[in-house]
This record gives sequence, C-alpha cells and structure tokens, in this order.
Amino acid sequence: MSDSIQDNKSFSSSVIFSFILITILISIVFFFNESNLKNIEKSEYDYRMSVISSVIETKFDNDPILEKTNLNSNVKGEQLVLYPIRNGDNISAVVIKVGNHKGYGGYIEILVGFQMDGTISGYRVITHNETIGLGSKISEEKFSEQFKHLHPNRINFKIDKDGGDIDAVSSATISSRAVVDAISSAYKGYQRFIAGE
Amino acid sequence: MRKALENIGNNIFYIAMLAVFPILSTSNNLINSLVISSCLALLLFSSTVVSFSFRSFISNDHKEVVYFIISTIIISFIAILLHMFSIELYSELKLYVCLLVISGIILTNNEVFFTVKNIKILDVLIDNGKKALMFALIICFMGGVREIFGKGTLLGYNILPENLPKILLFQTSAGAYFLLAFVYVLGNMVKRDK
Repeated sequence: MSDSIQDNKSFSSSVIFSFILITILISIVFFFNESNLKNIEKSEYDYRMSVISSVIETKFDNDPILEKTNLNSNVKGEQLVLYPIRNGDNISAVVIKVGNHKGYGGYIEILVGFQMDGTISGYRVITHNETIGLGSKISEEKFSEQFKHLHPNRINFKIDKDGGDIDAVSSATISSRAVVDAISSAYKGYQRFIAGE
Repeated sequence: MRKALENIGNNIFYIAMLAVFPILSTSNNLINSLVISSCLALLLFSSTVVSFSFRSFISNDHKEVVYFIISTIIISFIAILLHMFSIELYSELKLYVCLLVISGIILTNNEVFFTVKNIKILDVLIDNGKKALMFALIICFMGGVREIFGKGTLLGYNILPENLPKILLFQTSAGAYFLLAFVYVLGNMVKRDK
C-alpha cells in the first residue's frame, strides 16, 4: 500500500534536512510577525480608541488609554478601570470599564461613558459569555439605547422585575441584572473619582 | 445542475462534511463562514505547494510528522495575516483558525503525499480546489441559513421584518448539527439518484 517514493535517501540526512526546513519556515513566520508587530499594535490601539469614543459624545484630544487609572471596588471580584477624557486641560467626560462575574455565563465586561453631570452617554459590552440569542441581546441596540441620557441617581436604577425602571431583556433577567449592577458600580466609581478630585 | 453536483459532490462532499464538524460553532454568520473557508483554502494550497517542493528530500519514515509541522507553521502565518486584516474577526476566530490544521481536509491532503506514488502536482491542486469549494459551499450555506433564520440579517443587514419571530435554535451550536443533518440528507439524495 504505502510505496516508498525513494529508498536511496538515508534516514539521518532526511532528518537533518527536515530540521533545517522547519527551522527556516519558523524563522520566516517569526520575522514576519516581528516586522508587523508595530502595525498590529497600532491597529489594536485604534480599535480600542474607537470603542472608547463610541460611548462618549464629546470630542477629546488626550490619550485615555495612557492616562487610565484603576479604581478600588467594594465588591469582590469586580474590576474598575477609569479612562479620563480631556479636551484641553479640563476633564470633559469619563469612561469606566467594569468587569464582574454576575452574568449567566460568568464574566461580563462593559464600558460606560459618563458626562460630567453623571449622565450616561453610552454603554457597550466588550466581553460576555451569555447564551446566544437570549443573554447576548444585552449587546444589541434595543437594550443598550435605553441607557443613553439616563441619570442613575434620578431614576430607580433597577430592572423592571426588581421594581425598577429599566426594561430587562425578556427571558434574560440574570444577564440584564448583571449589566445594571455593573453600570451602578461604575457610577459609584465615577462618584468617588469626582469626590476625590 | 445535478451533473455538476455529482462531479464535485461524490467523494469530496463527505470529506468536506467531516471537516465541517470541528468548526460548526463558528458558522453562526456568513462573514465568519467566508473567513474560515478562505483560510482553509489558503492553507490547503500553500501547504500542498510547500510539501510538494520538498517531497523528495524527506524519508518516508517521518513524512507525516514533517508535513503536519509544515501545515502548523503555515496556519500560524495565516493567523498573523488575519490579525493584521481585522482585530474583531481575529479575536472571535483565532482559536478556530488555528484548529483548521486538524480538519479532515488537511489530514487527508497530507495523507496523499505519503501513500500515492508518482503524483502530479496539478492533479493535487485541482483536487484541492474541489475540496475547498465544497467546504466553502457547505459552510457558507450553513452560515447564511443560520444568520437569516436565527438573527434575521445577512452580512449584517436586516433582511427579515423586525416583528417576524426568529428561530433561536439556529444561533446555537445544537442548531448547527440539525442543519448539518439536513445537508447530509441532501448529499445522500444526490448520490442515490444517480
């Protein structure tokens, strides 16, 4: 069945040749990767900047990723990262990244933009492991649009099942609750940032 | 039409079916399907060319290993290209693109090199083209159907009316297996009719 293609090649020379071939191929891929590392980093940076600017409405001229600071959180397993948005010297808006483990599928990470009066200017889901078609609707416009221009202090900031004013995604109560919890802890972080300044 | 399907759909259809299994979860929309199938075509052709050019220098005793490593190196090259092309697609598909190297098409393609004597590169390339085409047909059909009926969109544009209920099953991985069963029935019908 398995005909040998040629038998006159000795085993050792074939092994040496294979090693050389594989080394050359690996180094080609390595150098290709190294030479394009800068481009990849730049496009990754551009992507992160476009995500940040999608949740705020004001223009800015600083580098929010460079100026980011970590905020402390009282909740266990929750991470808060703050990106200040400056136009000139004044902070014109704040973007906060929150991650918690309250989602139906575990970890969710969202980005919330706040204007300086505490109004939410936008919200976007970065990572989630929610059920496709049910919990994943938290990243769709129908759900996320309702947070725009809301002030978490002025309304009952809970989902409708808990007696609040936010419309939860139908049959995805846990996911919606996780998002609302994340946004309210982002708001608390924002308040602490304002008070500490 | 049936003649054409017979031509490409006899043996290669089942090889392509076998290759679809490991990456069913990525075929939930048409763009992912297109990216995956084009990555597979790229891998298939380039690994064929590279393996074929060094075929006579490598002894039969360890051909499998060397060809497999060559395919692995090429897939990491393709993953870098995808990363340069689009960050969003890369973060969603990087794992599955790397897993393409163990898909049935690549493994059978490597098998060809160490079992068949006096093989012509043109024949292999034509065969590769058929395999890649069949794979792309199956996975793009599945991606399209899953996106239309599961989400109501195609390539990101709304095409079904908003108030029409969506079939959630198509968006889940389980729905992909149901759909694959229908594709299998279709293939069997074509085969039996001739």
